[in-house]
Amino acid sequence: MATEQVLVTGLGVSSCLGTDLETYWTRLLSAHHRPAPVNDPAAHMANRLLYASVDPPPGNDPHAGRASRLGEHAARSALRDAGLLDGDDPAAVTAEVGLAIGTGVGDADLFETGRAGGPTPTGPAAYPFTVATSLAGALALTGPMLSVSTACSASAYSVSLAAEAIRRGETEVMLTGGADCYTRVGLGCFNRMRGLDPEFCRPFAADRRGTVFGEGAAMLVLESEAHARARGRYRCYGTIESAGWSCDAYHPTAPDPGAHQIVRAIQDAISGAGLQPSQIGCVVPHGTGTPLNDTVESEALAAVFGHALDSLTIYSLKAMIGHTGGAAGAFALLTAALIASRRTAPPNPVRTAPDPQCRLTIHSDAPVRRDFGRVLVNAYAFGGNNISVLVGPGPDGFHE
Amino acid sequence: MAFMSEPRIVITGTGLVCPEASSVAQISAPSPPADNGAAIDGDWFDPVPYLGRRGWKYFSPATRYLLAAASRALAESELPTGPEAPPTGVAVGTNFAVDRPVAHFDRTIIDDDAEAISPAEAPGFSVNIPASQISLRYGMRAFNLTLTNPVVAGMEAMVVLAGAIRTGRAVAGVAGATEQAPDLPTVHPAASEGACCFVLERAADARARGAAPHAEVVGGFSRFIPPRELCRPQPETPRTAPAGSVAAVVGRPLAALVAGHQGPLPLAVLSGPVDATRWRRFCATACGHVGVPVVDTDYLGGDGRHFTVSPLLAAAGLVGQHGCGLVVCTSPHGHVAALYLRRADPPSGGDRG
Repeated sequence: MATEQVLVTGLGVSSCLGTDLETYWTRLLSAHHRPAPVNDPAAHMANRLLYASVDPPPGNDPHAGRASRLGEHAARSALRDAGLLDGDDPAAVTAEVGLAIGTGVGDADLFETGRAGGPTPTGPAAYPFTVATSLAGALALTGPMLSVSTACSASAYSVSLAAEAIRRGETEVMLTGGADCYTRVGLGCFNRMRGLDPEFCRPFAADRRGTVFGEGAAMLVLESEAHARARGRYRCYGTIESAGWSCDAYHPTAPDPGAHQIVRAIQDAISGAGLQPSQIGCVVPHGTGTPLNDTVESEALAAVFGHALDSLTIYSLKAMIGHTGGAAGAFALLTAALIASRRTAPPNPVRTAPDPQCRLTIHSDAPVRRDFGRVLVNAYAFGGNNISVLVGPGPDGFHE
Repeated sequence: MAFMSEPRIVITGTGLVCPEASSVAQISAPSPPADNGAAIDGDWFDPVPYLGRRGWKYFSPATRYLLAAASRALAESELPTGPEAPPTGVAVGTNFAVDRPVAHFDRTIIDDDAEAISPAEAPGFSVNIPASQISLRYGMRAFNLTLTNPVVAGMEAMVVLAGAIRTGRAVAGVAGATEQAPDLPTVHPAASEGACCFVLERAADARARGAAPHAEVVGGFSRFIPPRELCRPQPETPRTAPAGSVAAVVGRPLAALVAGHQGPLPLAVLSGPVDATRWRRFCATACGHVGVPVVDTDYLGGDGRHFTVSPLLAAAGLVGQHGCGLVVCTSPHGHVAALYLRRADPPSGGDRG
């Protein structure tokens, strides 16, 4: 790999906790949020719990799907945060910006509305995965672009691919992240697969019974260090140091209980940055609340970190915002960047007793405040897709 | 725009299935007019010759097509796969692979209840399941990616897989695209379906195991231009074109991509609803600025009726007929992608991998 540092110079969110970064962070520190049944009369299913996003302000296109609207707000926020967008005029984006967006279901609401008796998309609007397209159009972004739909690992992959595009010299700036919205079909299929918790999302808890979906968008502006220096921008949240990719090739939906490929992804992320496990201070796990997934992930972490596992800080984000599907990896990376930059891991929500089979120390009373060094993010998905991404500190002279 | 070219990546296997063709030789003719398009109901495809008699009952049509194309490509390549083989990856583009299954699930939920969905089919709502089945079937564990930009995602899969092999994430893999005809009939007047896959690997590895390279995957790119600009590409000099113009956004990387090509370059343009003649002229001008003359070609699916599969059918046609070529594809949304393939050194060539 080239040595070009890839900086995180902007962040933006649309989430169930709020639609601006500081509200999101403050709510994470409060460590309390519960899902509620979604208001969809056509959703004939037993469990309709959702961590629904706060509605963002209207975007450019009133006909855009919900994921695109959530994504556009987060994208504008991230570009503004990076100092690359002044006001709302897309022409004011002051650099050639590429785009790599993860989404699991795209603008599913447009199609589900049509099938429930509303207007049906036609022509180009009838393509289901157009979140990246909508963002590129709304913000006039013409750089390299990708739409990644590797289920719940999609946006962690999109961030990794964006960082690689910068390292290869294809571009200097990438807007990357993920956006997913409520989908009646996704929720219905998880009902049928018995994959949902009837109360709330409680990863690594002894009585966890499944996940609870969320929705939202998390966006990161990645930028080469040289480009940031050249424009006099010395503000960043951290760096995307490396990523490990793998695939279980074991089962369409269940993880390999042996965790071999999950371990390999974590190890590749750490060794790819030239580091040892002891140099990782915090992990934002995939942690969905699904019984087997959480057990397998905790065993993988134990295998990699060994005795150092006890000193790892674990921040289990889905307990606050639910499982945001294709956006989950980006939410975890955005949160990891804040944890690294602010040297603060918010408290995990106090729920129920921890699972003794998951040998992780889940702090819950107060934030953990220290220099974490590096923060590791895991994201896993249907199809046995795994990715681990390492967020490191910013270069000397850069600060949030 | 930079293009990594080392280590060299070559195609060693090609597989395709669609209603109109099942071999590279059959895609050399352009698509029939829209009103003569094949009626698409899935009956044209028999999985048994590709997948055997068992094990695919609960797979969606797009998964079956993809596995069939992948099996053809892997058989032709004779690439070693499985737990003992070196790490291999998968990258697949699609737009409509789960469109009809999702619509079916949704109508079941609306009209009845989620409990009426088959639990064996329920995971099929996720668009990455087709690609995942390639990894499951062949033990390809390096990674498994599904890409979904309209029309161009299959081309992106080729470029992403080649890049991942170059950076050492895998030594080889399958790149391709798969589609089932969309649930909504208004998407394309002659909507079709099918799948197309390529086996990509390091040239040195192919040479070492005696595999014949069909072509070298030099690289490509994917960009976005607002549709109103996309419809009027101006053949300006890429170097002096204003920022944001088609010439700057597409012409510059296109010229950089093909610079150094020796001899006439076969060109396949898939321009969707946009004036194909204008886009051919635009590409010819951009390539001409770096001294590369182009030769127009046209293949089955040139009107984009197979969505993400169409440009890969063109790539398969170019490789089969010429051993090299340039595919340029636009989507009605504003996506533009290019893929450049050049003649591979024969197996006995110098060691440049």
